[in-house]
Amino acid sequence: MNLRVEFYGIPRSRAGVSDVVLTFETPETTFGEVVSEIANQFPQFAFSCVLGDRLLPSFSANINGDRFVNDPAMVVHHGDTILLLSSDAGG
Amino acid sequence: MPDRDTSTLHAYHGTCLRVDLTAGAATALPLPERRLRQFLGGSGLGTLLLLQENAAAADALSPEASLAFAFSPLVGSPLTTSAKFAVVCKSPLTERINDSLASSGFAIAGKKTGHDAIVLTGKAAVPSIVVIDEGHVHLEPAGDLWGLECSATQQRLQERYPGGFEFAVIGPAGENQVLYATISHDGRHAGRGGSGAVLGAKNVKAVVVRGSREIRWAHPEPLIAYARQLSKKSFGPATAKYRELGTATNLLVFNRLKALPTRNFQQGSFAGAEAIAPESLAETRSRTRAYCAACTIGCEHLYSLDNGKDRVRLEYENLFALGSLCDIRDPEVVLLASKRCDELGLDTISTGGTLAFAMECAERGFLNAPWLRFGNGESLLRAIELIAARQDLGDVLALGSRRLAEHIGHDSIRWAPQVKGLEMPGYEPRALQTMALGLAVGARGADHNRSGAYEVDFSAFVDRRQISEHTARLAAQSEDKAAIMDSLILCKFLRGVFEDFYEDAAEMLHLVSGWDVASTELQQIAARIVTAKKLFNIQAGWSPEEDTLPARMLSEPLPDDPHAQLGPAEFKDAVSAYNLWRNWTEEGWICAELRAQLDLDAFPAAGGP
Ligand code: SF4
Repeated sequence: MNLRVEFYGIPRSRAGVSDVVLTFETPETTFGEVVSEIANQFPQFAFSCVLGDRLLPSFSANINGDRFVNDPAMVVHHGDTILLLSSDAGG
Repeated sequence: MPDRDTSTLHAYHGTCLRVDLTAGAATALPLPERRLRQFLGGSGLGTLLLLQENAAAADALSPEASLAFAFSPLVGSPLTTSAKFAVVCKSPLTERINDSLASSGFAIAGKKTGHDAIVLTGKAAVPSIVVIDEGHVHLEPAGDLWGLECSATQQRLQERYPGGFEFAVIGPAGENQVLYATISHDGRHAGRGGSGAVLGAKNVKAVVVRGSREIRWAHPEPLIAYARQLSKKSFGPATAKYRELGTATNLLVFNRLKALPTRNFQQGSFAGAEAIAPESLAETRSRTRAYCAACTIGCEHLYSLDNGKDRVRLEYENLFALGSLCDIRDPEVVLLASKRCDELGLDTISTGGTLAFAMECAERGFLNAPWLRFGNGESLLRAIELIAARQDLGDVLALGSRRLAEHIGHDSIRWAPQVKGLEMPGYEPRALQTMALGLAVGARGADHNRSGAYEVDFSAFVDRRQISEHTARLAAQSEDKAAIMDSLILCKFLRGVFEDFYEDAAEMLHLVSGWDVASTELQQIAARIVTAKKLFNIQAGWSPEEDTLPARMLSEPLPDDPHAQLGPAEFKDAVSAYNLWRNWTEEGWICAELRAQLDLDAFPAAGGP
């Protein structure tokens, strides 16, 4: 299965890319596994934004522009897009 | 609580300086400890002072109107981001309470004059500078400064008053009483609601302060230790976004979530977002970072103009209001427009909101201004100059979108982007529905500073495009937290560093003032401040119909996100639930028992049941 991950704000500056496509061997996976995989690929992102299989509280994830998620056990599917961003939206 | 002798107070002076500009006289009025503890400072204290002045009854631009500069217990302390003050007055734009905050050395010097607040009332006979030096007050003529833009005024004042003075000034927009003119100091602005017009109507070009009265802290050593810890946390991940990128980095996120107001709230996403985003600007322009006084975060990011010389502060709200809202895709135009607003002393959100509304009306053929079009940078820049000078079409644009809609007719009020007359900030309500409620019920009008309910929408707690049974509570709790932050005063961009905000706030207040304040007392203080603002509005003629959103947002889904839709009946229910959560009546009136419980019974709730 393929997933697309888009980075915004600090996650983008740490990852050094605006987006990436991840491939998993299984038909579905969990949000926690996605976070771990991104952390493997982008060590600076892992250092600043990740603790284990979770994002630090200053960062958020959203699936497909719809729901915000923070449960590592949440299932994500082929074709989903995960947005990683800074939690604070103050302007 | 019994009132102590003010000379034994910590963190406060226990007085307010009241300056009568008509008489050219000043009086120091006592501020009892009981009231200071109930309202803290800043936004809360300013609200109390306006209620005491009976300011709701006066026309906002009349000599009888009062305007308060309110400092706070943390000003002058080593706590990061604490050099802030509130400007509180009746807004000429909304005719409701207005409190705008800003940071600069003005807060520190103002408090060092020996007062916790400065209230201006009356009207100077000629354009004047109000000089407050060590608590002594006099007026000086400002004829030579009248007409100067904000930074030129500040520069001239620095030459004229060397040695420890700090300045709050108005630009041409304030002089000409544009209803959304700002008060500027060190390039920062007390921006929203038109406090600059209030000073202009009083013939005050500048307020100049200097003082040497030291502020005593209750527990100086632990305060320093706490401040060190707080500064350390302010370098952590919770503020990284502000330090490294600034608020403007919201733009691409909001655009992706279709929550970015575009073309006068006709869309939630913007085709030009990449072009004006700070991520793109940083590739082609030099960028520097600046800090407010006494701040360790430094969220201000300034970008160079094409001329390579001038730099412009770019924040999310400028970027959305003068960019996507007006469909401007040329970053140079957005930067220039921001700069001109800063120099002329115009609130960027109200300027962009009023112009975007005018553009839509012109496009629909309801406003005879064929030159004013979405996407036309030249017309945006031209209109900004006309507004500040109140020339031609600028004279009516200077009144804001609500009055412009009344002038235009054609039921255009349905799409005027305002609540209570205040233009909406860059949070599309249909896409962020906890925030939608916060915007509708805010005492100041559509307001992202006194309600941070968007935080909830950006979390897994709620479905951001769905009003739920929790919406009212979450919106009220966000407003309460903001009431404490705005009264203590600390920068909102620090909020992410606190694990338990009320515990930390109580600790800070204890260290500076010596008061043993529990979290529960702080929550009651928040409820008092929010209710006091509502009381002011009721005295000024508030009615329940005001607590709503523009009709278009309650009747049409967002065209580029059909899931983002608000219904009028469910929205009205959410407003009622919010009112009941606050222990107000379902319609939003305040009963006598609650006023007594919050020690607000000295202030009558005119009108209502
Ligand atoms: S974080 Fe930004 S707005 Fe807040 S005090 Fe610091 S520089 Fe000023």
